[in-house]
Amino acid sequence: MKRYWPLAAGLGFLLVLSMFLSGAGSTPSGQPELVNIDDLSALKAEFNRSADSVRVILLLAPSCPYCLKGARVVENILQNHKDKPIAVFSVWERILPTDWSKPGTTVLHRLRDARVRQYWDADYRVASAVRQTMEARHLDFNCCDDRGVLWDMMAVFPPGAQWGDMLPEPLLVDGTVEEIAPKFASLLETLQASPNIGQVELKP
Amino acid sequence: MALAALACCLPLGFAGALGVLALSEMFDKLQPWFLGAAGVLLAVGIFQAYRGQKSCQRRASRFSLVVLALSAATVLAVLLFPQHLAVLLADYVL
Repeated sequence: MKRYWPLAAGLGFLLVLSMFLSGAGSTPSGQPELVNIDDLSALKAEFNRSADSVRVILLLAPSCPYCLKGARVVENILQNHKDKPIAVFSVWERILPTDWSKPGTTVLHRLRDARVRQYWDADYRVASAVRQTMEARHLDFNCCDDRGVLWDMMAVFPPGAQWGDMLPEPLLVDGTVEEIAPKFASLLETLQASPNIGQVELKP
Repeated sequence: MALAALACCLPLGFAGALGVLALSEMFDKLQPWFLGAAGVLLAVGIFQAYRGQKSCQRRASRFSLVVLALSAATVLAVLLFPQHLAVLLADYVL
């Protein structure tokens, strides 16, 4: 029996380390701390406060490699448009069995830009709001649905529009984030050339 | 006979666990099934290593034990540190 003590001790150490690391990580400098979404009012207020910017909602799972790659692609786009008024709301959700903890520091640092706000949405409130908007506005989507919850997707909203009873009409909504990111980049280029942002039509 | 020898002497369970685990990271929607399969295959591997020795009439080889340790470590890493693993996969595999 004694020969199994090191194994048990190692396993215990890993469990303790895992529990230690499972708390919410810290966001990059320049960003507020990770916000728990208990209701939508705080996010809605922040969304409407940023009405002079192009606003992006990302729905991501913290242990999904494809989501993390998509987040990095969006970060690169933000770095290429440093001077643009853009507000990104990165919403992390529990989707996969391995999403048993809030996003840690390594995950939160996938999006380092100061224009990013990061949220933990354990109850899928934002995903529900996005779905409600898409269904009400008859926007088709062929991706990003896991047992009724939207994830690994991006919704882009024009400046000026307000989030009232439901989200405003998006300029672009689709997934996966990695696949749709080039459309987001070209949308930003188009917006630079077009003074009337509301005329841009890039829905899938 | 040859199949029985293969089943008890080669670390098929561990290798299977590793393969299934890799698939679970690549195919997100099937992850629960793959994780379950990895756990079952790992258990089969452990059974092979510690209980199947009698039928093989020899001690588990050093290679089998190394594969067992690696497989167990990988399964534990996926279960306990999924975000760190996902970051590595996102940056170096995908």
